[in-house]
Amino acid sequence: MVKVIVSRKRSVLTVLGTLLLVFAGVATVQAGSSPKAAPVNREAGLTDAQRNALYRDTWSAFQAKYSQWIATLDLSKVNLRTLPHRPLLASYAQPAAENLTQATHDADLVLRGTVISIRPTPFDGTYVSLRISKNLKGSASGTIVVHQAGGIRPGSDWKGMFIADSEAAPLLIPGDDVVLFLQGGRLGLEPQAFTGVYWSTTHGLKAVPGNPFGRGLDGLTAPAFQTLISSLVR
Amino acid sequence: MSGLKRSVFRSAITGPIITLLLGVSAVGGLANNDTPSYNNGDCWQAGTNTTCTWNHLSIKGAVYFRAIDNFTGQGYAAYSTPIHAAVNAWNSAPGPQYYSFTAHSNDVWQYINVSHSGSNGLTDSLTAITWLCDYQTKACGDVYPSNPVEIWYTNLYLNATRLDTMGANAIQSATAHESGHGMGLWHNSVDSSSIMWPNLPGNLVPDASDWGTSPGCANGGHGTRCIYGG
Repeated sequence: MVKVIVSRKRSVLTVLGTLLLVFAGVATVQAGSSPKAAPVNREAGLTDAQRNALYRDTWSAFQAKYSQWIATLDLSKVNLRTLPHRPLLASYAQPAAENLTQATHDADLVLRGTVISIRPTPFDGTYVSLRISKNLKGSASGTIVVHQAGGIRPGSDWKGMFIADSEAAPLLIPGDDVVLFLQGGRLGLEPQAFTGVYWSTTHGLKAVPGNPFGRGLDGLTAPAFQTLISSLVR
Repeated sequence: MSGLKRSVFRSAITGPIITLLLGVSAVGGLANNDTPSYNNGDCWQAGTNTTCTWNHLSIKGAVYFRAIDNFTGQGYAAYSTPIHAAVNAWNSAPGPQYYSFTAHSNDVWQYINVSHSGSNGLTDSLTAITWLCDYQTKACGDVYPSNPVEIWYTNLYLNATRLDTMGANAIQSATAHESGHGMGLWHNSVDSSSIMWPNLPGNLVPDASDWGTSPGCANGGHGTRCIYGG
């Protein structure tokens, strides 16, 4: 009798144990094979007004947090050259000019300079300071501040960061030696879209991808480019 | 080789490679522009890795977007016709996406705003910009995200500073383009007929690159079909 009871208890325990193992196994397999299971729609049952309020509140909270992040950003401790670049989710006007003659003609200022510093804003682009080394069109000397789209953005953890680039004029960073074609806009002088920025590198000039005549300038040195622009200004 | 030596050796090799890659990235500028952007992932397949709407993970087929009219209240009723044309163009295009000003269960909202240079990330060189807001982090971004995003809602800002002088077609094109971002599409730098071609005045309606091909991104597809299936 005792043996029978013990045997039955063992059987029950064995079955329970097996069920537990099977359940755990299934749970593990499910977790492993479906890491992106559809979340519960926590907005089901909300009215449009409630959804709108939810989105507006989180958007406002994000704006406040992002503004605070920018305000406390100390770029003196950041090596901007090592930051990753990401393009803006934006659309652009057509390239400002079809050829160098038109770009020169339409520009208010053409100059060569070296970027000294940048001042990113949360929602107003970035202000870039340059030391002018050569004035090619218009009158400017010393230092100048240029406005650009994009800037510095926080990583998803709010700790890391990256550079947000306009495809029409990727962000200039300190140390860049550039020739700029600038036009006055609502926020100050801005590089022409696609035709406004030329980096002077050890391999010659580098234009913005999408510049319709940028390829024709490949290999040109900055001094030769300056001479070319000067001839067009005359 | 001892563990320590192996570690030092690994650092000596990988350090310069990482530095080189970062340097190339910095000099090279912009990342790959085209959808799909993450490991050729299909959002509709479990275990893949791409950006799509927060309520559509691992679900294949129809996905519903609702356009929210903020522009009329902002004094831009004149923008209404081209904006509606853009929304209708996406709605009637092939593919799993539905896009309308009318409510649908489980829809994802795209706020359509009109703003000016100097606000919301707009400058004179931009005709419009999109902020994707992520369900998980509750943060928003105006760039190709560094990690896959669960698109919770989207804020589109059309730049009246530029568009006021560019006409109705430019408004329609900019709206359709930014709405594509709100669906999880990036720029298309290959097909100049795509609505996701980044320059205006651009295209008015999505083309085959925008709704893409089945069975999906992992098979070399593009567009909304590769993200959402269908």
